Amino acid sequence: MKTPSPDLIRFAICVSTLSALPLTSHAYLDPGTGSLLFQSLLAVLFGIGVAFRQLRQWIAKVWAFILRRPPPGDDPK
Amino acid sequence: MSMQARHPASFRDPAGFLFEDQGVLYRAVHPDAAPDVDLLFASGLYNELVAQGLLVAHRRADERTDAGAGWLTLQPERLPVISYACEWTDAQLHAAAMLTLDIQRRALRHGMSLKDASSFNVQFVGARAVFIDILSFTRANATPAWVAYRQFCEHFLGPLALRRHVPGAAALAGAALEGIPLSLVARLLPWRTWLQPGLALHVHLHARAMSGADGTAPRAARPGSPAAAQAFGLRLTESLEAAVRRTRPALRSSAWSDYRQNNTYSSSAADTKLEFVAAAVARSGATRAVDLGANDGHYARELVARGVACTAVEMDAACCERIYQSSLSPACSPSLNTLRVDLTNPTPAHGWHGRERASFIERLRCDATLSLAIVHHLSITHQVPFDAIAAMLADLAPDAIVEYVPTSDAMSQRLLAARTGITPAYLATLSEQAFLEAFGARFDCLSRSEPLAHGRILFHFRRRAA
Repeated sequence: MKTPSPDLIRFAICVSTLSALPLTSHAYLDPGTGSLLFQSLLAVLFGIGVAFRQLRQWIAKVWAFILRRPPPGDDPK
Repeated sequence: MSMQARHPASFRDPAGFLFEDQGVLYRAVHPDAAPDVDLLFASGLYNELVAQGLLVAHRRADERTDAGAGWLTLQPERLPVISYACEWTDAQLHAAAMLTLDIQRRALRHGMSLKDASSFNVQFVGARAVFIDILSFTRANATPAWVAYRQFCEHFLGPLALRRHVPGAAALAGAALEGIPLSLVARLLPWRTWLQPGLALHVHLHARAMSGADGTAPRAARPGSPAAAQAFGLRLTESLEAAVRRTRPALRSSAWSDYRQNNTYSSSAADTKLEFVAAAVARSGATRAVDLGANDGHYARELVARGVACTAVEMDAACCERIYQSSLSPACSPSLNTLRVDLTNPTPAHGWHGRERASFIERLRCDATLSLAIVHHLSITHQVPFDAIAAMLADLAPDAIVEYVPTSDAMSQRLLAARTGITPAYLATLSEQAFLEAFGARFDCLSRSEPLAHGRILFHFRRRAA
């Protein structure tokens, strides 16, 4: 398995950071800057996952609709 | 509230602290944190968690006002055994991780979140993992991030992945306060763990993101949508659960895991041994015992069956895992604790001032100890003199039930065969006379058995008043 390039990962983190909300915390625990930024990437990944799931459901619905249609030869005259 | 009254491990969270008064444990809650505690109770989350046995029950101790004006005082249920993650079997750490995630998910659904995810927030009541830190619950904010995410990965997911894929490596961390750094976990894990989405995401990529960060504080937050933050939190929890589930430990075998089937005792001698142990424990009046070198936990389970709560202490990982699995049965679950501890190097006191986390010996004090078929391992293999063994047992409990194994015993002979310098003078230090002199300095002998298999003898000692 080829290890993903660190540059690619850093680029993905930067892009996702720009697209996600800036983060902060008011807890006594130090959450770690990198860890917080990484969660921005996770938010994007989870969002992509949800989008793919919805796309898959939409395709399944369309496919089911197509299959339900009667074949052209059976059309009532 | 004077600072001296604080529990030594309770100072990091400004939301409150534990203190003890006349043997009763209390938790003082700072006025700033009281709204979070009120929300925990008012939202129904507290009742749900306590009813499911996931959270230690707390009583509002409104009669106590010594913490100060505006402070809230709670009285948590006191747990009989306090243990640390380094003393847990793989399955126990797995159970503690799943408990933490389960609680986080339930908290999110009630508009709350855990602000920390330390393994020290989980304890075991028998075989059941239970969350103990009521001040970890806070109102969920609108930012899509879990502040305890890194801590969860370093306390639970990383160590679990190491235990699963690099057996023995997690033990190198010792009694760590802050888990194992993800950068170290990522370096130690084999490359094939990149193929597991959960570990690739939450360990490998997470570790790289942390190493790439410059350590400056993130910018101030803009308020987001609470619903989006909750949805992110639930997805993160679900993703972590999937990752933790894949680190589920497998039962392994070891040289000691089949000892019960391959030991020196015949069936009748084993029955005699059990009768002596049961009679000695009954004589001691013990309600809580510790079985040192418990092997498969047979005697610990026998004590539990007789109504005596027991902590089985064993060094061998495979044996420990079997004890824990057997303790999950309804008959044992509430009263049989399992700890994986090397008696020759038990967990030391550690943390701030060397007092934040108590040592194994301080935490394990009980009414009686069982030391069955273990003293010869300590004295021959580890060269611990009889008087040092007696001193430790006297420190742990007033009653000690000890099995003396003579050097003529087959197992002793095997252990001696691995040693050099076996002289008559050395063998004399392992004699019954030497054993009785060492224990006689600290204990009175209340009872001794007839010689059992290979001349083994059981003793019931009672600590002499100082």
